[in-house]
Amino acid sequence: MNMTLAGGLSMIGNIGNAGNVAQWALEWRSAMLRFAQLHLQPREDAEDAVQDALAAALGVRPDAVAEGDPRRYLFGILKNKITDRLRQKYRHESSSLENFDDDLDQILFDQRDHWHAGMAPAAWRTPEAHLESDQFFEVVDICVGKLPKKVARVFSMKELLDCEPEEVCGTLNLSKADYWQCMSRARKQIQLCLTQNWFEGAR
Amino acid sequence: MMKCKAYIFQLTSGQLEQAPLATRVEAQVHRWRCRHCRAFTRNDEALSAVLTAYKSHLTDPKK
Repeated sequence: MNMTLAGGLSMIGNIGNAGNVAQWALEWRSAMLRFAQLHLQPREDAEDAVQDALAAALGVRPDAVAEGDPRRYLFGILKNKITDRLRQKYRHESSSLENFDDDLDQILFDQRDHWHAGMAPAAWRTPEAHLESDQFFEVVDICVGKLPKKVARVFSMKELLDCEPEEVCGTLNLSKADYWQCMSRARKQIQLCLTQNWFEGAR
Repeated sequence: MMKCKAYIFQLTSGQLEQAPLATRVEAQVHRWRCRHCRAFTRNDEALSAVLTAYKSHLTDPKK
């Protein structure tokens, strides 16, 4: 999506949904682009997905749009556009071949498969108290950003795009065993990262 | 007997929810015996809430 589309939409604002969508493009484009960039690189691919989503929003009955919640509506379309692009991108690739270096278990567990001394987790204190903090979400962002690429793709499809495991496997062309490995790695790594960078700190 | 590494993998991979009864019982017994895995499990539940809020944060146009 570029400003040309937003500008064009505002000029034809009284036709169908164009007025709504032009307003949404101004209000929501940055958030949509930020979200799309979590899943699609380079940035141009993410921009194209946002543009596709806004263009698709033009096609829906105006009364249906007026009654709905724009965030849910726009991000619902965007998620479908992102998933379509991921499916096209990975259709001919075997993600199973793209292994990540899963050394985290060696850090967490000893040879008897018990927690290593010093790595055993302690329960987070009042995690719900941090859910309004922008600073906390900056740390979540950093932790998610540190995931290995393949793990990040699987994790973000499941947790951020709300895809079912079968859809994740089908889209990224990977086995169920690979999926479980990636999800496990992601949740372990993010928990460890948040523990070390937020909950153990004096915030 | 289920050990920490296997329990944590079952939990974090999402397999535990769908696991056969025998595996879920084994996991429960492991949790009773291991306070570290109990702590990890509580944090993992909190992580689900964090991720739901994170998703909402990401799609907030004011951020």
